[in-house]
Amino acid sequence: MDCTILQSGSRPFEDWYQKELSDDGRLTLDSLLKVNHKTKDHLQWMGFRGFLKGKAREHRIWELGYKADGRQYRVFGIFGSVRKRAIVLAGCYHKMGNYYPPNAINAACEMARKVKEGKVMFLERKIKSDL
Amino acid sequence: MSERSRVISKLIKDRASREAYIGAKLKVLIPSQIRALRLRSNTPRQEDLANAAAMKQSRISAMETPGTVNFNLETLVRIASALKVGLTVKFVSFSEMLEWENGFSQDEFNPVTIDNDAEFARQQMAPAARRESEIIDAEIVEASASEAGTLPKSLLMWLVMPQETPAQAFLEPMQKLLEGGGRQAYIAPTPACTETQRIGGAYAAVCGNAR
Repeated sequence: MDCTILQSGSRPFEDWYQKELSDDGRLTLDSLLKVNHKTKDHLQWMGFRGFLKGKAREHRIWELGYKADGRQYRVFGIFGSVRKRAIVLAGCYHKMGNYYPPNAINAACEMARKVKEGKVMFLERKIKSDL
Repeated sequence: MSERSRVISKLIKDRASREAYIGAKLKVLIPSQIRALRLRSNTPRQEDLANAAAMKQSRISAMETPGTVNFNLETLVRIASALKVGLTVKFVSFSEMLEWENGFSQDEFNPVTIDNDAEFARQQMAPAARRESEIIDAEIVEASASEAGTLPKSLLMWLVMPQETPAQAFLEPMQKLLEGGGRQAYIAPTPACTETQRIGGAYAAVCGNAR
């Protein structure tokens, strides 16, 4: 798991990570990514909840889940064309069967489509050296 | 100021930040260790671990989901005992904690369970030999059955054999070795030389030489 997406104008993951997540949520996610990036089998990633169904199914978007500061957080991503690269698309929290922000899955699908079309730039996250 | 410097500065100044930082690491690393241990055990299903720990499967599942369970010591002790491993909880520097996290890999995390713990097994198997090892400056060696006859005569011996090795194949050479040294040789009481004991995937026997 090596990178996140940066795209001018729309950065659903980075915006969520920087503005919406609490310290606890951010630190836990950092730690989660750090552990998972060393785990070869994605089925054994901590918090791996499988692939989304419905509209997101065609993009093979996976979902990570974890809890911090009393909230159930969800992070959506896809596997990149480069082997062992995971691309984080969007994040949100989950409550009573709903995602907040409610368009999180749509945003993830949109980003996945842009990735496929080569319309985004990647911002690599240096997980190993993160605090 | 870089992101890294900002975080460090915050950690130094603010107790709540330190609390969140420590909590975040443990929220991920404890579940990850439990999962790694469970998957490497002989009974890798959550249900099996739940039975061994006298818990519900749903609780094991929650424990393996980062941040979902606030672990207390009692729970950790119960899980450790069910998984047949030990547990250490120690206060360390932040840099040591970070080093632990950076070095941790779920794929490689594999502490030895008590039934495969050679040190514990040796202690259990050869009380007499252990006493001797305190008196004489004993060495401990590993050897195959065919090598037993070539070993020095005053050794405290620790033989590890493939599981299928018949006991005769190494008990006789060991007895000859011990008895032929001019010293009073003895075979440690059971469960030692006269009785092999399975340790993990091998048979082991321990004998001692008395002065």
